[in-house]
Amino acid sequence: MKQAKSFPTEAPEGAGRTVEFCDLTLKQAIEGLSKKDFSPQELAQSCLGRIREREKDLNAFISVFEEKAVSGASKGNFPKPLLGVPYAAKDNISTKGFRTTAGSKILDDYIPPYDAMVIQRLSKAGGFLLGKTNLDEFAMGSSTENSAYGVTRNPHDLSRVPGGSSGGSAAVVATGEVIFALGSDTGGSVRQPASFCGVVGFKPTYGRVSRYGLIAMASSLDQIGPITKSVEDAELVYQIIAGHDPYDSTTVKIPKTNSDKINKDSKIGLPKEYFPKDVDADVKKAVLGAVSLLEKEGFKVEEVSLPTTAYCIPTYYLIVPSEVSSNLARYDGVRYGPRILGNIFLETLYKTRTAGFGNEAKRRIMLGTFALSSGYYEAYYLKAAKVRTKISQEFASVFEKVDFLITPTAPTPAFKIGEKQDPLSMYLSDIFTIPSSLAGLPAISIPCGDVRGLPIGLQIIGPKFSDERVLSFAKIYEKLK
Amino acid sequence: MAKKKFDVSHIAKLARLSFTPTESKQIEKELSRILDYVEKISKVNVSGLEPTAQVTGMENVLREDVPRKERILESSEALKNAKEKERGLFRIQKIL
Repeated sequence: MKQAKSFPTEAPEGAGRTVEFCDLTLKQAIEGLSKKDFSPQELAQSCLGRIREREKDLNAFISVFEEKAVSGASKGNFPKPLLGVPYAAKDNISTKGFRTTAGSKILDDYIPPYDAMVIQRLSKAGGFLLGKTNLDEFAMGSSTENSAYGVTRNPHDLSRVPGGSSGGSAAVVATGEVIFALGSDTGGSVRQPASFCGVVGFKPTYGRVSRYGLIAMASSLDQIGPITKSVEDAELVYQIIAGHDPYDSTTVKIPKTNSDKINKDSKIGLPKEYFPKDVDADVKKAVLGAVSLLEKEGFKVEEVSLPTTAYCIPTYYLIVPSEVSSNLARYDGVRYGPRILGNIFLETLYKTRTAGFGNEAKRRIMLGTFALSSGYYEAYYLKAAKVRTKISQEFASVFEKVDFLITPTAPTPAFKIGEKQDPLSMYLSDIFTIPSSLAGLPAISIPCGDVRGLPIGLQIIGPKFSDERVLSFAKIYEKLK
Repeated sequence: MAKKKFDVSHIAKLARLSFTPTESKQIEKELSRILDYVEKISKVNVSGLEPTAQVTGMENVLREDVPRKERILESSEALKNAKEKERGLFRIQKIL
């Protein structure tokens, strides 16, 4: 039974390093690079070695920039703080001059003419982009089985999914193919794969990280977030990518703070609706075990209630497909992407879209088009938008009583590839991550043990714009584990 | 909320997608099931609540109406991914 991988917080001492460079955390890699224990080239080569070893089993990358790695890393002098550390970005994040597919055939040959803001910021900070990772098409899915570029497998058990939609990003970090990765999270797509792969995944408050260059799925929920080997690493990446961006008018001017001191009077809330009878008993045990560690440290724990939780999934699956149907209307073969010609433009339009989109994308476009259509808009989309207000208000009132919420990230560990054929059953697996997405709250998934050999994560949710506090609190738990 | 049979051909036309008769039946089945599930929200009391359009609370983010050089995408760059272009324009087939 394979133990879920956990990463050392201290670099091992002694002669003859037995830890591969690619297995270092971001913090350790930066230390090593600044002390010149190894060069960015050696670090990149170590990652490439791991990629050559494991990619045939995992299919976590859509593109690996081997040539760039050889020529780019050798240029030396990378700026601080990242000093040339290799990372990967989910393939819905635009990278100038490098193919970006969003996991879809309809963007099969698309080469963005610009870098997403997060890529620009990481580059200025010395990050070295090594490749683009696999995802469910247009970030729609919870398993990375919906990609036009094949299924990605979970490094802990190749017969299982890595989670989704950022399954590729979670898998590459878990397996040491890169030091850290970027994912995107709309309803749990950074947190759930992090939980399934035994790594850390952080979704910032909506508005903290620029969506400029993120291929849009649901514009009022999408957020880019780091997937890393430790909370400290996630914090580092967050500090680099977060912050107001004039290129994205939905980013906020609220300043980031440095690590917040968490005071021992902080209260933890356990929302009872997140611990129902039908959640996997071992998952519950792992999460509650983590909570009791925190209790022993002196934090107070109390039960709270979020009564509208049962309506979160229906609300999400009305709002998101509606936004999707609008955002995916631009894929018409005119400005980018493959094109299937008909006799007149309209025929070309139908043929191109029908051939280019996968089944889940079509499903959501259809659902959203319906929910926004004349005669149905009020009862479906508008109603859901009002329920969303209620959900936000409930969180806000709970956060008047407690400082953080702790929940399982997902109701089960990684399921088998092909197990969830019914779309609805796939949607139900996002039950714990969707609510905080609807409310735009910061949330992190951090490994808290394993269940029958598979990793499982717990989720910490904080009030809006408390990102740094959530990260600090997660660090406290990580040290206690 | 009246129970409505999902009209695949009408919605597909709005979405500019085509389905074969088999695909049509399949998607109707899937979407009807999903709709039955999401219709739960009809039970929620939302009286007095405004719909959420966005969660940041911000309004009217404006800037000076002055062109910024660094934001200009050259037309040659913008056209790079097009399958058909002519004289700095995206070229498409006839509409009518």
